[in-house]
Amino acid sequence: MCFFLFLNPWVGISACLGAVAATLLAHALRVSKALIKTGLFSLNGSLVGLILGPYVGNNIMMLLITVAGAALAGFILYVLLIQLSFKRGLPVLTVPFVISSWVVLLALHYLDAETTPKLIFLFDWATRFESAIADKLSTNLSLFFRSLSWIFFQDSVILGITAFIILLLHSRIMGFFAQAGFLVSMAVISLIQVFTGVESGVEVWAVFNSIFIAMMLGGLFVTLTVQAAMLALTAAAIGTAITVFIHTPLTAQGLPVLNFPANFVTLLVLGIIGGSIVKAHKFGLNPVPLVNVSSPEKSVRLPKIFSKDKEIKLALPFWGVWCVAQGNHGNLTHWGKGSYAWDFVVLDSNGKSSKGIGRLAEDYYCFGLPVIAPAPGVVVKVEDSVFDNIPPDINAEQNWGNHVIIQHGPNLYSELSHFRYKGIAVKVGQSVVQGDLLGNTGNSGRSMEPHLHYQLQKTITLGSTTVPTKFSDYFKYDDGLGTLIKKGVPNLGDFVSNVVQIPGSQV
Amino acid sequence: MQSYGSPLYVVSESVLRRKYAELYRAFSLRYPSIAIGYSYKTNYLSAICSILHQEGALAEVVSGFEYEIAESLGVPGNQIIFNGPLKRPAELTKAISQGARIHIDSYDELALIEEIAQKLGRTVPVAIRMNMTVGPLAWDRFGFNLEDGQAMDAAHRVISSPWLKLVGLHEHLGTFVLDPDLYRQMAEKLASFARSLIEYGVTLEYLDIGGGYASHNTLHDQWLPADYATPTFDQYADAICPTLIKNLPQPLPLLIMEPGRALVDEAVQMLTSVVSVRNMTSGQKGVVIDAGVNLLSNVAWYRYEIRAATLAGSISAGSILEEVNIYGPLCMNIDVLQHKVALPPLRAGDVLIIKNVGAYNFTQSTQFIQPRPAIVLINEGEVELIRVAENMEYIKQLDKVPQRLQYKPKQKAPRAKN
Repeated sequence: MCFFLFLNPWVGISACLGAVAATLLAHALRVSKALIKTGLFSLNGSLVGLILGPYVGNNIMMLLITVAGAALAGFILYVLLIQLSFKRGLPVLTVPFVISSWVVLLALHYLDAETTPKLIFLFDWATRFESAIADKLSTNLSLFFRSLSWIFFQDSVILGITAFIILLLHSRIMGFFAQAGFLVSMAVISLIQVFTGVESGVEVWAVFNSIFIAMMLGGLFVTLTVQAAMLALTAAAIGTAITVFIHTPLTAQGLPVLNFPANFVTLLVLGIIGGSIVKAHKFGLNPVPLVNVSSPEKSVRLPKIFSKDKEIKLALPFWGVWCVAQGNHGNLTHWGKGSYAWDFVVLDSNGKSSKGIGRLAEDYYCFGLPVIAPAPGVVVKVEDSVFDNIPPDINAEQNWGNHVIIQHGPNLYSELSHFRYKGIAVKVGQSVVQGDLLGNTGNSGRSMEPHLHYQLQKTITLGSTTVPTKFSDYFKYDDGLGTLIKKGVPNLGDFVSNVVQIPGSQV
Repeated sequence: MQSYGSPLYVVSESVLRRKYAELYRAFSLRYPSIAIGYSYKTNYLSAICSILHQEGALAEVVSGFEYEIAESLGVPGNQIIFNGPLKRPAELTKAISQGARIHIDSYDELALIEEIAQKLGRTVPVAIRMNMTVGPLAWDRFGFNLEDGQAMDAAHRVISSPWLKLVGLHEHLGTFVLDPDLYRQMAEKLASFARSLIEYGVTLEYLDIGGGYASHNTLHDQWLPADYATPTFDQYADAICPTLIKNLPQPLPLLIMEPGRALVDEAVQMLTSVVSVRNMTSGQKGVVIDAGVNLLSNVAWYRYEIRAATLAGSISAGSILEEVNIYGPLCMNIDVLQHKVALPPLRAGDVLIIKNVGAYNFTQSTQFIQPRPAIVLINEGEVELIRVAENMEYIKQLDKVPQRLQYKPKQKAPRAKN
């Protein structure tokens, strides 16, 4: 931002205002703080500010329109977050920005306003510096940097170099894919030029979109493997082609291509990989859970992702021997969408779940006992601010009470609920392996007495449709004697525990 | 008592099994893998050890003698924990070749083990016994001290030795520790010590937190009686496990405990008969019974609960209580079992029950002027003899009287001395 204030204050100001506008709208829409913190609102808002900035000049009207456009982007982001991210686990990328900018620019076009973004250097020396550098570099290299600077919708080699350096600092892998995307798109353009002419000005857009696609799919949203790299470059090539072909019709309407092809191709690919029709994991293509998207280097170190509930090996989410208080299709609360769930409690040798008459939650044996992760994954949601009920009261408002949701795969989430107040030991984004401590059993939510609720479900939303599944490698006890069950469904009244290994003993 | 005599130790199999199950349950709900090593020195009656082994306990021994007892019961070497300051070379050699867990108490022992390891040509997995100051507890005569750096020194010594491999840490806080928070502090210190060993490439297989858990008895200077003061196993587990999980490096090592009295004290009661009743000059009544400090040495620690057993027709229910001193049969002034116990009026032949005497009383008992009594096991109404009462034959077995000292009755005429 400071760079722009330096070179063109109006662009800088409108970018900042755009970010602010979008974020304020998010607050007004009561979006959760965690989501606003991710920066998606500011990003889309400031991008709108950037693209419309050059038209602002001294025009206050333009400034207001820009701000309105940024707010619109914020609203579209809000809607898309629900439809794409929560329901389908897909990132929103910069789709809101594209839609919102097109709306504004289309309007401006039909009002006969100027629609070509331009670079205005307020200082003379900056212009000379720019051309000096541009002369030194070969055409291709300068094209590469200029296209990088299109991230900010400016056409400047200096900006591109700065952007590239920052990119390399963040992730070398992304820097690599930026270059690879560039090369792929140059190749594709040359290929197209053999058959038909390519307009001037297309190159930069095509290269830009290609770089974008390559970086997104090359390790950032898809775990880096050889297959993912090949897919990324293929997609980049396709993106280049799309850019070339839609450039003309779009420009006729006064609309810049922006990064529409990049968004389109990336979302299409991610949608296919994450969906259930194509078994992408068999091809070595694993999408990265959204909460973990930070850099390809980090994503590579995440635990294995399962894509089908049949692959996942679930261990019981506790230590020691517990009893099933309500199993699948239980008639208390495990019916309909929530059929495939379990409630676990601890009983004593007399079959009671509490000391005495169980007046307090603390009297129950399982209250406060550790809860552990049933399978490797990433923690995607955590809630720990619900108070524990005093038995037998229930909290029907916050049905699930304190809970932890772990993502094991694109459509596979474990939900554990009714934890103790402030009794959660993990954070959103943390990767866990089987056996990691998640928190303490409690009595929050719709819970008459302390118990642990577990279900495997399809989406990240609380209480979404449960998936029938089995636990692997556990003991079922009959009269104190345990039988090993390789894969099974614990039923009401079963005493179960995970397999315990004691070195050198007869267990 | 009619069949087995008086006094009589009575062991309850169900109580023993129940205490073990409770302890195991408390910890297994809070920690992924645990093992309980029964502390033999508390009471190494074969039947008691066998019951606990059936429940899954390891054997924790502090001497070659106890090691042999474990062996004789069929316990394999890899289920024996060998602690203690005195480990003779032959005993160590046997323990090492059988794969027992050896917890090193001193540098001298360390050197000895290395020597043996060299002779046997194998690397021995060992643990170091540590001690530390936790609250008021600061036993520093066993093992290596944590605070003054000895423990780290010893760890280095083991790590750098080609014959030894550091696989565990052993700590034993004290005895009859009534405050679970002291265990929490110990757990914290142990865990951070374990963490500091990571940089030396050591991944611990197990952590042995020893014993010291209180049983349902009341110490002499303890204000609150056992019912209020003795922590439950859940409370000990709540103090220890979360701290360990939070501070130990992954993967979490096996957690071993070495309870003694917590398992066995409440499982054994003593039945004893009243010998005589007397009035002291102070007006205080005294009752002499046939079990004294020879059999109940731990009266020095506890105020045992003493109850009158109601046999048909002997003591009527609802009778008034009077405060009596209980004396044993030994001809020694120190043989007082308890002062001022509230009991119904007693007569010779009445039976008293002394409760929760399982820990140390038998193993520390003496043969002072009375052979040791029989011990029976009750299990769902069935009574089985698990130790025969000692008799003259048994006691005379080890005596060797030189021929010249044989008793000859005095001759009719006195012998002149010159």
